[in-house]
Amino acid sequence: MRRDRIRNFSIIAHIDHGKSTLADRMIEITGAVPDRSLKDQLLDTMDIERERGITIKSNAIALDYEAEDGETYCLNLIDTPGHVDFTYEVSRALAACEGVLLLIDATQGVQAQTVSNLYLALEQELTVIPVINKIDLPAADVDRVHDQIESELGLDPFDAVECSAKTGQGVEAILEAIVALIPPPADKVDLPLRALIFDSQYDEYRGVVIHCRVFEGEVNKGDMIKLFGTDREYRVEETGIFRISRIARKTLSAGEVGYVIAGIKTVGNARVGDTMTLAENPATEPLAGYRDAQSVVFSSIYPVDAVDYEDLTLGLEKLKLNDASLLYEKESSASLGFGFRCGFLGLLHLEVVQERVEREYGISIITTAPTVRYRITHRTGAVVEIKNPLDYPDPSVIDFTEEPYIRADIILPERYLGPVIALCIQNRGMNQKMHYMDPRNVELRYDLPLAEILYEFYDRLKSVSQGYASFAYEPLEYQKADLVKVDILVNKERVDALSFLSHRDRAVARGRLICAQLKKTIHRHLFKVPIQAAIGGNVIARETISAMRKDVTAKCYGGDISRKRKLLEKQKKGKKRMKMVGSVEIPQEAFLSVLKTSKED
Amino acid sequence: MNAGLYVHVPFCRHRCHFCAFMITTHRDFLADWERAVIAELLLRGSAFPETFDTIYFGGGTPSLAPPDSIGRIIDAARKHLTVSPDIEITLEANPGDLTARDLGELHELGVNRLSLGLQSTNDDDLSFLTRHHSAKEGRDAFLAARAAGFANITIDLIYGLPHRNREEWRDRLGAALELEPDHVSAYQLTYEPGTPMRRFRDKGDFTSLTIEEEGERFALTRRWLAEAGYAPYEISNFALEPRFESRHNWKYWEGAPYLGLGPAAHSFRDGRRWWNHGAVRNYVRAVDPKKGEESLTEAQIRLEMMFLGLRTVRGIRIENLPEGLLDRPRTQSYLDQGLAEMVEGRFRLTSRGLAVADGIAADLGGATTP
Ligand SMILES: Nc1nc2c(ncn2[C@@H]2O[C@H](COP(=O)(O)OP(=O)(O)OP(=O)(O)O)[C@@H](O)[C@H]2O)c(=O)[nH]1
Ligand code: SF4
Ligand SMILES: [Mg+2]
Repeated sequence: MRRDRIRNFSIIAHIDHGKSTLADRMIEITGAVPDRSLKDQLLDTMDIERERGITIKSNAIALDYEAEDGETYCLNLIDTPGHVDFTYEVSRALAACEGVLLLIDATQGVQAQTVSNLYLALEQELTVIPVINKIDLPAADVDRVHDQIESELGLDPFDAVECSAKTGQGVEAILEAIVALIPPPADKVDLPLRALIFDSQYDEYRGVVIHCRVFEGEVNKGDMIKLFGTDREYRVEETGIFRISRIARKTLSAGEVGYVIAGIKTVGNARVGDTMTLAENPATEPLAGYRDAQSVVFSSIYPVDAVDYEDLTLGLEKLKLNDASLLYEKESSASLGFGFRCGFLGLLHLEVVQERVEREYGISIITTAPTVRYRITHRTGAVVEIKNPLDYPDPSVIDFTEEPYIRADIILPERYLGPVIALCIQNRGMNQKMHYMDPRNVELRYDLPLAEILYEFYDRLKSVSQGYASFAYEPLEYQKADLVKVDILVNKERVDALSFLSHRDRAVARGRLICAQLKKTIHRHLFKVPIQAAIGGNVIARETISAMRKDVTAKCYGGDISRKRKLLEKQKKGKKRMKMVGSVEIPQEAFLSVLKTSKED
Repeated sequence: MNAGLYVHVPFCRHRCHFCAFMITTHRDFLADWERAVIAELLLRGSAFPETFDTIYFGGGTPSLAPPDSIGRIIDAARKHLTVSPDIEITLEANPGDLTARDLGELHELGVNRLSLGLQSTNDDDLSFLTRHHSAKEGRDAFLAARAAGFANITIDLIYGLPHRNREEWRDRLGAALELEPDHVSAYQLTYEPGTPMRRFRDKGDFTSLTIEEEGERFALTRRWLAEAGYAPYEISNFALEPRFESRHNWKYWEGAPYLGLGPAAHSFRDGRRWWNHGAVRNYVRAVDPKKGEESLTEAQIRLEMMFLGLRTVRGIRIENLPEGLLDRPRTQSYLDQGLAEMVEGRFRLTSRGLAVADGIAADLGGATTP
């Protein structure tokens, strides 16, 4: 393929603005996939992506497009996720491209991730083509979006293309704009090989499949390659490009996006962001990679049934093969036994991992309340970072504690300003900026403790703004925090997995909520079960689950027996999802409910 | 073990608001039903070489079937099954359905146990339960049955109605016992899914008793009946003398074989259970009315015997308890807390334990296999 006929681009946007659907239309129009295999959001291949209707991982596909100028172009498309947890996926994808399509939902206008993802693209000096999507909807306000493109995004509205990813209207125009506006990759095939690893995937039969963008030189089947990060060398078994599946090609050369299989056993050895070169005639410098994904949320995963520990270990190992951003290490808990302390990119990432472990490996697990990484300065001057409430030292040895903050940019219609500001203040936010994007829409900037947005800030933001507010955030420095450790006792026994760290002013309210949640989820026992929240020895909240006094069904004759047995069998299965703490059965949901305590009710 | 025959009579005058049984108010199917029941008897009878020593006409409302129809079914059973000379034949009846003549005829036919759907001795209760008979009609029906020669009469009562205190229930129970029934089935009102009663409660038309109140009523009912001479032998069943215990129902609780005829009826023999189409229309039309079946594993049979045994005074023979169960701290704590006891080589629940028998069964059942 001639270099000037190649276009590498990503589709970026706020969540749900239609990236994957637009990718569908492009695949359809260019005939990259046989008609019978077409389905909605074709590139969202994971079960969990299909079920939730969101993209989690970036996905690449090469399209052959015959343009109006009569030439056939190779368009390497990368669909990216829109959810704030997976911003990291976006930056990886962008490193492989010369341009982006920035989608804006015409009914919603510019949203927080529209802005944050645009900045990522501008940082990499990529060509940006604004695309106004969903113009088929009656609520579409195309004029407003044109204004916003100019005033809020600082882009030229004359470049903007209007389309409906659903009906296909305007999609040809986008393809033409890609050919016309996005520059082809630079011609650097004569230089020594430098290819950026932007993703890697584990294939049971072939080992690691490296997804890369070749910037300089070329790589051929049979070459010895070297990875800068590890300095290790591998023999290339296969190279090729992505269609809907992998298509082998003899060579991958500068400007192209494709894959390399080289007998690498673990994804850890082909780190995303690393540079690949040739063993003979290596390049001297790696490409500018990108930072490792930072875990911001920590939580522990335990098997409900201790016999599943081995399977859990295997499951996490395998997930890690395809998800480099998942971090974990062994730990043990008095109430839950052996498990793992894990680091996640955000709560959605946590949920995704939890769901995949349960589904793909058939293990019931318990996830403990998520927490951030605190920094504790001891009176001795020693500084430690903790990411587990159980590691919180005795308060008497602490000089001061600090917690991570984030800067949140929230975009919302003016009429929701009141409740959104109230929500930010309630979550210990400090206002930095407020500005009117247009007479109806406001952009707010708040600095907030990360710990406060962990739980349900996002859901609450959506609910107080009836779905209209959106937010993006970036990390800030640590700031001092007044923390206490709250323990939860069930039937007088401390359940260490339920302990949490809280801002002092919030401790009682959260303690009460958790006790109330537990009361709802733990079923009645044949004895009374007290539930308490305590700081040190001091009980700050309590609830009691009264004893079960009567549960027996009145009738049990011939026709009832089978049904009753099945119920018992079902309950028995249910017990597998219960954790015995002392003589109390705590259902898995109880641990989860702690994760989702709403601050108001 | 001797076998039992159950015949489901699916017809009712109307549907009571609390009832979740398979019934129909269309009595035009009566003739078809009788024909189909007898056909089913012929179809299945040969699979039961056992001697039958009980027949139970349950419903629905068996008293809506003409006595001669009942007679033909009993005849067919006598002809096609091995029947014990000392057979217990029970028929459920609603007050007001049967004339003195009907009662006499049924008695003649061999029906020797009458189960009378009294439900309450208070007119407010009866109207809350949407029963179509009065307290007086209930009493009259009882006396008529006695007069017709029935020496073994059981009455059904429902307690735990909303907005009734325990004294009110005691009075109603007392009035019922004045009739001197030989046996009492006292059922706590339950709100079965899909019933109007459940809907009204969920809608907030009335407030049902709390679990604490239900527990108290359950215990008091057992105590009051025991004090009146009625020995509890199952969760809801009480007999003045052992010979008045329902021989037929014991078959369900002890895993004896039974053949169930009629819509929705269940049969059980040799670890296999099957059941019929529930809708009368489908039942009478089917060449073979069997709708589904299951073969129980050893473990499933043990589980059934366990939870059924726990509901009765006989409990479970220790050697039939799953291995290691007695050594579990949980089991031990039931004994320590007085929820269970060991009597004559049997593990059984006490009155307090019976109130939570479902929870204990779930717990012990959960432990039956690792
Ligand atoms: N009416 C209409 N609906 C659209 C259009 N484009 C996308 N949608 C719908 O919008 C929803 C989100 O579309 P996706 O393509 O999954 O959005 P996305 O941007 O890939 O979402 P994430 O990957 O989760 O960030 C789906 O229900 C689509 O059917 C459009 O042009 N018109
Ligand atoms: S009469 Fe008996 S079977 Fe018929 S509807 Fe009423 S309670 Fe149910
Ligand atoms: Mg998507």
